[in-house]
Amino acid sequence: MERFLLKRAIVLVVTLTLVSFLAFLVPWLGDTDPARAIIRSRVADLALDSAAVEALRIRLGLDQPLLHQFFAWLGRVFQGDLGLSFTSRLPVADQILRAIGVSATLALSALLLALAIALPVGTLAAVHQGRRFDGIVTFIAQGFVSIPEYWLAPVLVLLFAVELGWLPSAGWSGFETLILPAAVLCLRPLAYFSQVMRASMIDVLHANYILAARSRGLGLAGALVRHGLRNGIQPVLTVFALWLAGLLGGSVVVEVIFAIPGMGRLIYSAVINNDMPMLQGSIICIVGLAIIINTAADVLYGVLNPTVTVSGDAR
Amino acid sequence: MLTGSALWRLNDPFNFRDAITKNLEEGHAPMIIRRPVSGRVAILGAAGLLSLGLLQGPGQADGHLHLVATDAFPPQAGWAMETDDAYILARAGCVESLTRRTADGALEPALAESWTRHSPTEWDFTIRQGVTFSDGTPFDATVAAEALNRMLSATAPPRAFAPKRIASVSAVDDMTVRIESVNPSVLTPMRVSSPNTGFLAPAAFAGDAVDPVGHCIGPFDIVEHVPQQALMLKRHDAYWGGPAQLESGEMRFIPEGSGRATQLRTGEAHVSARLPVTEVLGLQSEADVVVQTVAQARTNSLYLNNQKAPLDNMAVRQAIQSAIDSAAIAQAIYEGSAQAAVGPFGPNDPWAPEDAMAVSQDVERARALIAESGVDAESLNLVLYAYVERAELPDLAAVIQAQLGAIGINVELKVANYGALEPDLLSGEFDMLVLSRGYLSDVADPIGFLTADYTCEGGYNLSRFCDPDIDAMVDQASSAESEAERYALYKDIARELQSRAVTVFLVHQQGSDGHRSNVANYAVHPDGHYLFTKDLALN
Repeated sequence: MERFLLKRAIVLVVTLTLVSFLAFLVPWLGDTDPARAIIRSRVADLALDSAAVEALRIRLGLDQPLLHQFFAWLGRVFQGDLGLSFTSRLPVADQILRAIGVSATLALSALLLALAIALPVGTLAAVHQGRRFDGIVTFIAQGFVSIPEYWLAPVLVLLFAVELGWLPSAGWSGFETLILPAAVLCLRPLAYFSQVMRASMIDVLHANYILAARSRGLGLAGALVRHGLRNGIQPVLTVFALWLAGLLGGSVVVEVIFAIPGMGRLIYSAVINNDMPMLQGSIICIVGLAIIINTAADVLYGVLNPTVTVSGDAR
Repeated sequence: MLTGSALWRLNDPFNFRDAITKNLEEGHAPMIIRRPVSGRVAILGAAGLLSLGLLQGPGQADGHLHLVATDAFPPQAGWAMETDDAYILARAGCVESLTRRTADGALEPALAESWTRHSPTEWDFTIRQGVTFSDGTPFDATVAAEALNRMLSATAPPRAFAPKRIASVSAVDDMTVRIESVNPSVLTPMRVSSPNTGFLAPAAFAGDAVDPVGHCIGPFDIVEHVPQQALMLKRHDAYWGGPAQLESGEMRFIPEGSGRATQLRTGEAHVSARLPVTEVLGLQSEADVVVQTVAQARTNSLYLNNQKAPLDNMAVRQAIQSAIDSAAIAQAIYEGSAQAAVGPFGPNDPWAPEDAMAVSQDVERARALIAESGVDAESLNLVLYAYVERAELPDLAAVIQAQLGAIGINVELKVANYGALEPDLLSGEFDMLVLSRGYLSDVADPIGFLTADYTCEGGYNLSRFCDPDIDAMVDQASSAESEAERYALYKDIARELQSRAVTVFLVHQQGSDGHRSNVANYAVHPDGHYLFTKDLALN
C-alpha cells in the first residue's frame, strides 16, 4: 500500500508539473497579446493605450523570457502560493476554493443521484437479462447518452421554470437551484452506471459464490444483497471516480446555462482573459483532484475486494 | 377542446402561477413556489449540503420593496475603479461621480453642485454640502481629489480620466476640487461623469483589495457581494438626494442573455438588462413584461484599410459602400433591432448631420464605380476579418461577402477572436474588418472616437486614414469653446467620412432592457451608467 501511494504521489507531482507547463503555454500559442487580453478583460474597449499595455506587461513580468516566468511561478507554487489573478488581482487560491466547492456540490449531487437510480435499475436489468425490462433499460440508457446537455438544459428550464414555475431558471442560491443542473448532469453518468452495473451483475449472477449461497437456501434477493452487490458495485466505483474527476472542471455548458459559478466557468473565463495564474491554478487543482480521486477509488476497490491488492497483484 | 388556460390548469394544479403573479403584484420579491410535498426533501438535502459548507448564494429576500435585476457581467477586476467594475457599482446605485449624464445626454450636477472654469485648462468643482458615504465618512474635496488621483496613477487608467488628458487634481479648499487638463478643454466636466470617476469611501481601499461593501455614496449601499453571483443592496438612508423608494435590491449576474430573459419571463427578476435581440420579440408579447429599447452610441461598420490597394482608391471604397444593403442587414441580422447607419453617428445625436441618410444599395452604381476606378479586376480579392466576441459579426461578414460578390469582389472571410486578429489590425496587415465601435466610450462627446479612429496619429486608426484637413477639424473641435461650433465640426467630419467611404457604416445598434409591468420609473440609460436609481420603484 505504501509503495502504491508513493508511486501515485510521484505521478501526481510529475503530471502536475507537465500539465501546468502546458497550461502556461496556452496563452502564448495563439496570436493574442496576453497583456492586451488582460486589459481587455478589465475594460471592454478595443482601443487600448499602448503605454498602458507596456506598463502592465512589465508590471506582471510578461516581458520576461517564458521559462523564467514559468520557473518563477513554479517556485512560488512549491511555497504554496498560487499567486494573484491577472484579471482581478485577487488570490487565485481563494477563487478556486470557492469554485471547486460549487462544482463538487454539483458533481456529487448529480453522480449520487445517478448512482441511486443506476444501482437498482442495473441490477434488475441483469436479473431480467434478455427480457423486456432489460431491453427498455438499455434503450433508455442509450437515449440518455445521446441527449446533449445544451439541449436538455433549456428544455428543463422551459418546463420547470417557465411553464410550471416550480424551480428557478438559473443561479446558485439554495437547494432548489441545484435540482435542474444536477438533473441535466446526471443523465449520462446514469446511463453508464446502469449499463456497467448490469454487466457486472450479470457476471456476479453466474459466479460460484452466488450459486453456493442459493444452494444454502438463500433467495435471489438475499444472495444479491449479501454477496452480489459488494462485488457488482466495484466497476461502477471506478467509473464513478472517473466521472467525478471529469465533472469537477468539465461541466462548463451546464454552468454557463444555469449561471453557476463553478470551476468550468472559472477555467473558461481564465482562457478567454489569458489569466495565466488562474488557468494554471485551476488546472493544477483539477488534475490533482483527478489523481487523488482515482487513487482513492483504487484503494476503496481493494477494501471492497480483498482478493485485489492496490498494487494490482492478485493474491 | 382544451383552451390554453385549461391546459395551464392541468399543468398547474396547485395554482403556482397565480401565486407568483399575486406575489409580484403585491411588490414582493420574486420567489419560487415549491410544492409542499418536496419541502422536507428539499430541507433535508439543503441541510446536508449546507453542512458541507458548499452551497452559498445570494438567498432570497422578500421584503416589500425589494427589487431583483439581472445584469450580464459580474465584476471581474476586483472592484478596481479604473475598470468596468466601476460601471457595475454605478448601475447598482453604489457610486456616483461629480457630474451625471442624463438619459437624453444632458450633463447635470451630481456630487458637485456646480462647476466653473478657472482657466483654459482648469475647472473648479464645488462639492455638494452634507454628502456622506454609507459608512458615515463625509465626502469633501480631499476625499474626491485622493480618489481621482488614484485613478490617474493606475497602471491602465481609464480613457475618460487618463494622464494623457488630465494633468492634475487638487483640493483647493474643503469643498472645491480643481482639475487641470493637459490641453485647454471644455470637456472636463463630462470626463467626471464617467463611472470610473465614481467615489467609494476611503476605507474601501484600506486593505489589499478594494471592498465596496458598506462604503457606497449613491442611493444604495452594498451589504453583501456573492462572488460571480449577486450584489445584495439596501437603501442608503443618508443619501444626499433623499432616500430611495426601494428598501432593498439584488443585482444578479446572469451572463447568458437567454437566461436573463427567462428570469424576467418567470418573474424571478423584476428587471433584466441587455436582452439579446433573439429574445426581444418574444418578451414584447408577454403580458406582464415591458421592453424598452434605446439607441446606443454604437455603430457597427465595415472598416477599410485606406492605405492598402485597392482600398486606397476612393471609387473602390464607394463601390463597396453602394454594394452593401445596410437596411436589409438591419432587418435580417438584427431582426429589426438596429437601424441602417446614416454615418458614424446615430441620426438622433446632436452632432449627426441633419441631412444624414443611409446609403441605399445600388449595385449598378457599384459596378460603374469599379469600372471607373481603373482597378484591375484580379486585384479585387479581399480578406474580411470578423471577430467572434460579438456573435452577430461573423453572420454580418457572410452577408457582406455575398453582396460584394455580386459586384465581382471576391471576399475571403477570416473569423477568429479579436485578440488573434489584433496584431494584423494594428500593423495594417488587413483589408477589411467588421467592427462594432462605441463612439462615446470615454466622454459624452465623440471627440475621443474621432481622434482615435480618424486622425493621422490616432491611437486606433485602423482605417489608416490620414487627411490633414480632417486632423485640423478635429483639433479645432477639441479646443472649441462653444458646443454649437464643436457639433458643426463633427457634422462636417461625419459627412466627409461618409461621402469618401472611409468606412462603410452599416447599422446603429440599439439596446433593450425589460421589466415587469409593476416596476415604475425604470429608464434604460443609453450609456448603461445607471440601473438602481433613487426613483426606481415597485407598484
